[in-house]
Amino acid sequence: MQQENETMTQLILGNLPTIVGVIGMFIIASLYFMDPGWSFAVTLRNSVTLSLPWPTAIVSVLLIRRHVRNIIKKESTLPYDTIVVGSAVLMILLGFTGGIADATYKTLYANINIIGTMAVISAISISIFSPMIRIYRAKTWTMALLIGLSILAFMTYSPIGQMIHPAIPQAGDFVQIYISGASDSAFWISTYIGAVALVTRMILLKEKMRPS
Amino acid sequence: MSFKIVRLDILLVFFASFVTLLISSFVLKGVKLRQIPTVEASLEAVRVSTEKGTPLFFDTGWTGANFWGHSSGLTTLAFVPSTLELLKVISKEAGSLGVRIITGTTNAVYAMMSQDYMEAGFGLSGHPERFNLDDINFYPDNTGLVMSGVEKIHRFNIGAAVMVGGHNQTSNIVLYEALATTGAMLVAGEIWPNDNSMAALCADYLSFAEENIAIGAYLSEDPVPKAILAGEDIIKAFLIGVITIGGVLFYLGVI
Repeated sequence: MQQENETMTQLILGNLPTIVGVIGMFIIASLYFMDPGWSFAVTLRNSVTLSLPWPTAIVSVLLIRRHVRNIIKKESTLPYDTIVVGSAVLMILLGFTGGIADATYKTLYANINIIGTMAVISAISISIFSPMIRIYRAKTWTMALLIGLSILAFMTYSPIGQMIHPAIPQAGDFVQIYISGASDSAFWISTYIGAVALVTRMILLKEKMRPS
Repeated sequence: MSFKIVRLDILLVFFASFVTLLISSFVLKGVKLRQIPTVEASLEAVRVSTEKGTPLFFDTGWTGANFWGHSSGLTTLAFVPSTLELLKVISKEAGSLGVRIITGTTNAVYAMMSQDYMEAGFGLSGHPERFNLDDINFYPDNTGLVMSGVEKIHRFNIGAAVMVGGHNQTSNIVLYEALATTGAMLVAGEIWPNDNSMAALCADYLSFAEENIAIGAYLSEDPVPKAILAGEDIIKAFLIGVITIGGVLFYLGVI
């Protein structure tokens, strides 16, 4: 009996992150089926995520430490490291002195954020074309089908398709509404079934939140 | 304040699915499953990195506790155990072959969990000294992830990449494009359908969301998780039947 108790204690302590996760998921999932419930779920979410600044701070310090080390060692990435550390220290100091509502902090953050977002969106736009061109060298039938659908979508949502023939945008809309729509639904349904299966495995302690 | 139960229909479906999977864990024990190509391909990516002498790029994007109140956000949670288990297995192979793994995420907690799993993987390889904490990156947002990811791909001349996770706003395409310029082998599995579509255009190996969630069970030696995976097929078959019969009945004007 003593052996069984020890085993159970070890089982619980050894799987504590998973058990806490399962209980958290159970509470949130239960609140979905209650009225009122969603506001409580959000409160629970906030109470958990508000603790996130601590791991965020720890990981940020670890990253800054790496760049400081690169500066000390005068690595080839020195200008990049200097900018990262300098901007991080500046933003942290501004945040501590004036808070995130401080005008200078907000202006700097907004500008950097806008520049970064613009760069990424531009990169996405450019990058989307590139695989479409490279894809012509694709060797599988699946990729060939995707090329055809990509061209059809391009012609549907640009004036070119309509100019060539009105049936082209109609065909594109048909694919978008029926084929893509059904595929999207099937994608999510299978994902959600997979998620329920995952939760089942977690309850049985077959999927863990710590390495075993 | 009083609570009342709503969405009883969904609750019943959820409960029925759960019971079916539980029963499957007993009845279908010992079932043989087809392979998930992503897993085998991920290990192949480690070997390709060895041959090219470059680190492996393992990026999970938004995977983690990104819960913004929508079901698709919650789905990223389902990727946590599976992607971490994959990271452990990849780390084990990388530790044996002496390959660095550059990984990153926009979730601080996930970044810290990555440390545990990578350490465990390198430990299993017999070369714990090859684990490098500095190879785990945390990005405050998606923009930082993409820009820093592209910089790393070019700086390290990445030869192979495994991108299993969530890359929002089709930002995965930017990373895929950068990987194409270095001639990297790409193994991908994305959360969102639009991102998966982009992956289908570029990746050498692709798995869909549900397969990615199943990776943890697939990697396990335990027959119970595999039996639960097989149980999913029963639910799918039932749903397909309901949709087909419902469609016919609707066409006939019965419902």
